[in-house]
Amino acid sequence: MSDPLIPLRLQLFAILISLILLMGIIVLIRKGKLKEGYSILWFAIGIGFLIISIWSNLLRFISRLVDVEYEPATLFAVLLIGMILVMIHFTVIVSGFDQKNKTLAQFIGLLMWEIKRLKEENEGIKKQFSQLEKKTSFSQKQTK
Amino acid sequence: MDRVLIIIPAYNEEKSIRNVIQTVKSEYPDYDIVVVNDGSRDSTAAIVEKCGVKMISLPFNLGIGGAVQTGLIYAKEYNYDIAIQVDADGQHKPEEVHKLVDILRRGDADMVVGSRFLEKTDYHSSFMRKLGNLIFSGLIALVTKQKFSDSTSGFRAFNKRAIAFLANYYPTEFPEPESLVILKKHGFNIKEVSVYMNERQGGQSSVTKFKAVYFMISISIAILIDWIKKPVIMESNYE
Repeated sequence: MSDPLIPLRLQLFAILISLILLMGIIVLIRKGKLKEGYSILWFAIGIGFLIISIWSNLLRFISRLVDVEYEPATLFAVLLIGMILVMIHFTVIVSGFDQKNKTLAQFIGLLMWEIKRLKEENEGIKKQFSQLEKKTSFSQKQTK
Repeated sequence: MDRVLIIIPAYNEEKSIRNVIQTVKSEYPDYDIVVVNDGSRDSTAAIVEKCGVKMISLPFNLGIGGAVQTGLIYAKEYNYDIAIQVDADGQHKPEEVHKLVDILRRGDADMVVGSRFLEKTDYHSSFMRKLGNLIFSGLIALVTKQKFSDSTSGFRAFNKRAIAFLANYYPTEFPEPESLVILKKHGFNIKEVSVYMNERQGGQSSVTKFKAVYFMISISIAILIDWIKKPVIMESNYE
């Protein structure tokens, strides 16, 4: 800790931003605007942010591990990888929606046709029934 | 007698659909027809209604793959033995449907594709289409070990087994070449038969020149992806 990687004021700012991010996620979940399933990822990102901003030596450790001279570059790399993962995650979700959307549209089409067919059938039966009713009432009158 | 269904996917085909339906009706009075209206915004629906054939209207445009699959789901639900896709743009000649059906009835294949290029016909296609077809044929031959002369033809007939499978798993991005790969991968038998096709009557090809190269690349990738995809677990009724 003898040689601080980032100035104290900047570190405090980073911690504040991370906390605001986490708070924002919690508020969105509480309001029901973010489904819990999707929030896990954002929580992970928010907590990751917080860890990096509190424990600034972690960044230095990672940089040394992968032989990066300029430490902020490591930060950008980590963020970029994180963003790519989020985007892949979203593409997977959208693909699922796409598939379900298609199936829904197909079944709406099929059901609408089925309803139309049943309605027509129903009309036919009603007509037959009323004709039958007329006939029987007529024959009843005759027997009277 | 087996039950045969003609599936006509239609998206804004008011110019040609009446003719297609009437030709199918007069050539094959025993076959049922279902038009899948793929969210048309012109008078396609009204024309089909007047023709007195069954019509399934999708709430919005799904594209040819989603429309054909809707027809296949219908065929599966109503237990048809054979389903044939005939495009509404008048490119496929209804008079040639029997060529495809005959092969299915002999039990020689699960799907039959009407090919423009199997034998020399007077069908002209653009250089780009020929090039695309060559690339796809090569790629499909590479992965399926079967040579297809016309992998982008949508003029196809399916037997019960293929209907049941495709009703659940129909590729909707580039359905024509992709379904060849997927069916072969799952052990289905596919045959080609030479057909004559009309040059497009109304409407525009879904492939414009600018998009041709883009399509070629993405279809090639799709073919390879289909091949490396995990096979789906087959339900016993496909066997």
